[in-house]
Amino acid sequence: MTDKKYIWIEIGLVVILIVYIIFINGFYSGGTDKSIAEVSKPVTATLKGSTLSKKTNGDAVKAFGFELDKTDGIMYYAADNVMDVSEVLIVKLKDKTDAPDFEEKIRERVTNQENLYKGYAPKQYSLLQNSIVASSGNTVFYCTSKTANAIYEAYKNAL
Amino acid sequence: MVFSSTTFLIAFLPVTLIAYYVIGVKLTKNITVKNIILLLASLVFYAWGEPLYIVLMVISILFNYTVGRAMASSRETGNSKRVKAQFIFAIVFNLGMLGFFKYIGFLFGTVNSVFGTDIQSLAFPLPVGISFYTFQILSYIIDLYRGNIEVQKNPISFALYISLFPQLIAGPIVKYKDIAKQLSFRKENADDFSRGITRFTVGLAKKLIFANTLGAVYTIIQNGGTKDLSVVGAWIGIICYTLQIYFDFSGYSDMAIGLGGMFGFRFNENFRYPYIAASVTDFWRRWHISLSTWFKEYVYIPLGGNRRKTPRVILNLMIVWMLTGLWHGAAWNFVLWGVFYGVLLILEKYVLAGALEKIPTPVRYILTMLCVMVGWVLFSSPSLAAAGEYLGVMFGGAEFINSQAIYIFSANFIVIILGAFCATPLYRKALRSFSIQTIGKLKMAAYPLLFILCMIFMISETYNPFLYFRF
Amino acid sequence: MYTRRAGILVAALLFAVSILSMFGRDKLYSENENRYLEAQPKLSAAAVFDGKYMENTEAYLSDHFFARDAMVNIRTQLDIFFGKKEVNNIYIGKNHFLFEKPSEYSADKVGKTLDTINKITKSQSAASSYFALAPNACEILSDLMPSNAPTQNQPEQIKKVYGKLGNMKCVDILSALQKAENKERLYYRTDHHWTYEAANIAFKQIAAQMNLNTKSVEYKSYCVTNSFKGTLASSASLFSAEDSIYITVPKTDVKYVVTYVDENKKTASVFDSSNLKKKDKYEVFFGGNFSQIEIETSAKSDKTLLLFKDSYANCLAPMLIPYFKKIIIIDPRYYTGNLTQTIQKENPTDMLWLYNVNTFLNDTSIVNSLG
Repeated sequence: MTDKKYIWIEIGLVVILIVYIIFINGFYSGGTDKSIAEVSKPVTATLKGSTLSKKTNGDAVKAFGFELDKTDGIMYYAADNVMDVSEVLIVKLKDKTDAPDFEEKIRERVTNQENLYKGYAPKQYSLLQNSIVASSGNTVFYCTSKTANAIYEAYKNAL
Repeated sequence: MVFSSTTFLIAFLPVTLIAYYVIGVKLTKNITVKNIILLLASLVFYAWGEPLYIVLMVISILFNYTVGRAMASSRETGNSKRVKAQFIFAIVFNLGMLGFFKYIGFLFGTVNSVFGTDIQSLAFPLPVGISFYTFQILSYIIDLYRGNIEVQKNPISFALYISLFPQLIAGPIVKYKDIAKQLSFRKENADDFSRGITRFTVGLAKKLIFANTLGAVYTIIQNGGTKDLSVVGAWIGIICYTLQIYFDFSGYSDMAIGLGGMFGFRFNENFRYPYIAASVTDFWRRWHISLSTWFKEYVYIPLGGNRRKTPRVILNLMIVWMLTGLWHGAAWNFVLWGVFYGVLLILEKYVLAGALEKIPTPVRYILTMLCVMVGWVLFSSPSLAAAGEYLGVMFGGAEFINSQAIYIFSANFIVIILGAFCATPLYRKALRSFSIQTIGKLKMAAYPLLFILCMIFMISETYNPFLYFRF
Repeated sequence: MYTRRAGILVAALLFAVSILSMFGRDKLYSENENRYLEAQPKLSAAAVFDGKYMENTEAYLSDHFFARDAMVNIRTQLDIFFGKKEVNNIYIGKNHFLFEKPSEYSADKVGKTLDTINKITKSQSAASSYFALAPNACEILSDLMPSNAPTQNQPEQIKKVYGKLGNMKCVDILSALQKAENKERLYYRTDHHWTYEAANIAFKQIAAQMNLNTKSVEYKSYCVTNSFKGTLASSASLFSAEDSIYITVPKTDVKYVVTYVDENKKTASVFDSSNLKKKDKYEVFFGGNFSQIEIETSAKSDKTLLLFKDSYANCLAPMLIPYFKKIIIIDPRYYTGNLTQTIQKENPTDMLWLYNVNTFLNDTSIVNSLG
């Protein structure tokens, strides 16, 4: 191999590296431009036949203490039965820097729920312990459910 | 992946061992097959923890392999300008990648606080092990440029050197020249394997039994903040951290060396009982040896080392120690930690050399440990202000003792005392009075029991999440 | 030679543990740890790229590790043997007593709750309102707590809360319990609730404040179980002690019907003995916690009591039956209705708030219940 060919390989690799970094930047900053309705569709599809029913934005505010005017759409499903802690929440934020605050509020609720159900319903407590809270750019996701992982997958694919 | 995890211990390691020994050693007896198996295992190992950043490491391996071939080829044709160009390109590439992923946030943050601006920097999570594999790559590039080593034409061997899973994540930093021959020839045997696996067990025990437990104590104290902290409490806290970081780091090195031994590799020692050092200079001959030798060989000596006039030597030392601090983390408290040691080393070299000899050894141990512990406060605090506060409490700025300190000590005194004992070679003296047979029989009982104890600690950690919960 | 043998033994252990862990890998629930175990994760590109697959695999392998239960228990025992005084935020005290870690007083949280309570008191100003805070075991049995353990000043906390309540009679349960003869009988060893003895003492204080004519009513206590292992024992996985549960029954002719409003169920007893066969035997009282329970009695009274509570009141509520025509019991943590409407509809003559300090300091669910 001549000396010149080496330099071209190296430059090629640097280009691939830069392209790759740009590609994963999208991955790490996350978020979505889709509307809450679009993102919700595949997620609610996984909830068909479950014990969860759609709740209003007001219910979400009551449960989590959100500031409604920071949001650009909420999808909230919860169980009607008090002894069932399963719930799914997707919030689209107007400003992605609010994500940590919203995550904090969600985690607070999970902790409160955990304290409530700890002694009485170990199975519910266990579900809460395995709950998923994750934010991705301007969307925040939360789910307590036996099938939390599957629902999370659906959400990730929807973004 | 992490050595002290269930996935590594009961899935990855057994499978890799079987593949290596059955296919590599017994069936084919072929070094390339052995290397391919280890390379695949190492790539899986890294990708498991970094499914996206594995691509970076692969690109880096390909790039640097190409540079090596280019440098060798240009050297053969006598084109020394090209050799230098390739060398510079490689240095820029490797340091650039390290700088981009590790230090860019730090750079923007510092610029912002100095100029009062608010530029948002790109924020990438740090690729695991990048500080280690970058330095390994640089050792190859620099030694190749200097003509100290032969180019590695076998891409498998080269890739294996960079990605070898025992030392990829947490060191030791293995210089290419120390391992070059072993890439082409290894002879595995039962004794090396056994030495390896027992060494690995010791490292695992250091991590699971001591480091994690002591670290939890320090975390509780640190989370409590300085308002409820007493002098005794602050000292208990920093003693726990001092022991934790030793057991954590030297434990990983033990596991790395042990795992290397299990696959026929011999790595150099990285720790030599650093806490019985009699001076700060001595300490750095015993702590993270592979890092300080790397800096000496590839930064200090090229700068002129100590073969210059004193002012230049002092400058060289300060540069090296600032970089050492910076290597540990992208924050000013790490740089300060490095500078702290740089200053102490310069003092010991030029000012205190004679005086130190006159001080009785036990006092030297204590003085050295005091310096080391103050250094760890700088190292472990989340900010310079926090470090200052903590040091303030340590040296008399609060009530002497309180119930928090008593409670924490009474709950943990055994692991603290045992830890301090095991951090020294005292147990060797204790064993000297026994016969070889007795020691041998003790070994046969102790290592398996230690392994079982490690399993117990590893499994029960997932049951105690409150240790890792930040209040 | 010895190192070689030691090495081979360790290698054998490594492979043994690996192979043995493959058995029992489909176990779903752990009785020992009181939780569901991680199931085998599904492999998918998305799960691999964000690391979830690896995280779940680690949890899966860990949860199904060979002899996991034994290992977890050995670890707890080792920790305690070497001086640790707490497990999972539960203090290990003397005489086999387990203690819940006491809650901190957060002016923010408590402020919101107290505001709402004061609003409710005002909204029904014709009724007599009472507030009773029960101290926890960590306060009354503080000399059984591990020495120097970080704790809270519950008498201070009670004082602060009482100071912020308006138009209410505050019941002093703390002093009464402090003066009790055998304090160890006031709380369960293995559970965070108080026993019937403490509830009896508290009831006497409440009855005095509410001017109930307790002289004409006799109470009898029955032991319903001697093998109660409560929530604290389950959380800490320490089962060395057992408790006895007694129920206190008023000996009167008063008959009553219990209605579970949300569940649309009616029963004839405030005790649900089927729960004695379950793990949490404390649920013998009312069958546990429900959003709204109504007890209609044949008592010669025209008073209606609205009782806001946490689970401490479950064993005390039965003692109130002879004095009220109707008792509405609401647990704000589970209540999803419109409280304002309910209060208007029921028009209680008396309102009583009965909580234990730890729960009260943490629970803000009443704030959202007004509807």
